[in-house]
Amino acid sequence: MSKRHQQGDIKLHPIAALPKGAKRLMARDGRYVLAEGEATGHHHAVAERPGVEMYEHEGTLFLRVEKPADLVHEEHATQVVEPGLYEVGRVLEYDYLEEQMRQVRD
Amino acid sequence: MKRIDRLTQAQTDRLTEIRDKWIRIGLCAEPADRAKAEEGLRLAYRSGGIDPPRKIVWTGSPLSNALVRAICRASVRDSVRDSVGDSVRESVRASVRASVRASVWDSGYGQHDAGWLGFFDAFAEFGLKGQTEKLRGLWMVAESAGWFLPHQNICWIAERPAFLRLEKIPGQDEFHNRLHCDDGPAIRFADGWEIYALHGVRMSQAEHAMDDPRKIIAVQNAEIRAALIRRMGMERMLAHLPHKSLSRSGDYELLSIQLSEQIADARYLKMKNQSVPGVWHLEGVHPTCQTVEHANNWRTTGDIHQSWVPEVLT
Repeated sequence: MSKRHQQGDIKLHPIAALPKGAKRLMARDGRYVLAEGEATGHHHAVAERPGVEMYEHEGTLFLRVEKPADLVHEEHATQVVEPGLYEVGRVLEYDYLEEQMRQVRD
Repeated sequence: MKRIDRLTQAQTDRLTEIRDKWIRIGLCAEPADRAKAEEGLRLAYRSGGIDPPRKIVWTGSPLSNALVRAICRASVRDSVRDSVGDSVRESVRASVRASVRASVWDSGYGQHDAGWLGFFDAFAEFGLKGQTEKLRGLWMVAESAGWFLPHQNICWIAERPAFLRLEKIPGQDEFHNRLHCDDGPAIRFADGWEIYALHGVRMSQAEHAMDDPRKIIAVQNAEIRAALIRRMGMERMLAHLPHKSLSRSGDYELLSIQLSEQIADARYLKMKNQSVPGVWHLEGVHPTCQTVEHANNWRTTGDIHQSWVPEVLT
């Protein structure tokens, strides 16, 4: 049963279908990177293996998991992602100096 | 062709020594052994099937390698390189990449190739000499110097860092460490190039020197901001920022903070890091947020009234 996941600033939201035209992405160094921290080099990632696929559409990432897969990060506890289709999102923050909202960047 | 199917007890015991040797190599901050490094480079070129470079030029840091090459760029890249990661190498890599991107991909990492070179050193120790012979040059370079930029006719090679400041990562074994120094650079090279980091979070020298809460709270990168807040301490941080508490729930608190005369009511969510003890975050939320619930709703959905509660949170 797909669940809503949040690991640090990353969200996984269960969805029913991929958007039309979503492009399949290749794994890098044996893993699918959902987000990379530029200050630490740490990654939110899922290992590459049969039954795990990542897609991209208009700047948004999507994850398809056919068997339970680990969502890992160097500092956050590992989460088991149940089979399903997920949209990858980021939490928001508000910048008072710029007077605008943006995705949390690390 | 020799093949190893299982390790003897003596070989298993020896693995610990090989590991320690390569950790020492990877983290060494002594001046380079230039003669040995140059001999290793020539050997590595020959192992790759090409003539050694006519000139080997020593520099003070990986950044100098890249800058000097950017100035003299003319030659052909060769194949004497590979890569693996460790925290120090990743930091140097990211820092050089920020300045001179292409050179990172062209470099051999010298001592910072310890991770994968040590792995193959173990096989050589256990008798697979012929299969690992081609690595002998790279082993010599790793044992004696820093990063190198190999070209057909010239090879730039850098000194090792003058010093490294590391801390053990809490909760992990003694071999996991990260760059950390509260009051100065975490790495300095002989030519003066420095890398700043707090608990493994790299930042600019200007960010590292920040001690004004108003500047810290405005840092855009969330990890750098959290690392600076951690160094200052959340209580001290808030003691310097006029604020009032609007709402509290569990490990969350919604604050109204006066950032300046013009920005008298900035709403920030103060929250405890769910995974790293002692780390707190302050993240700006939409000015219409009145409660912690509004703030959490807005952070996850962009709408203060629309809820998105994670079922798994770490």
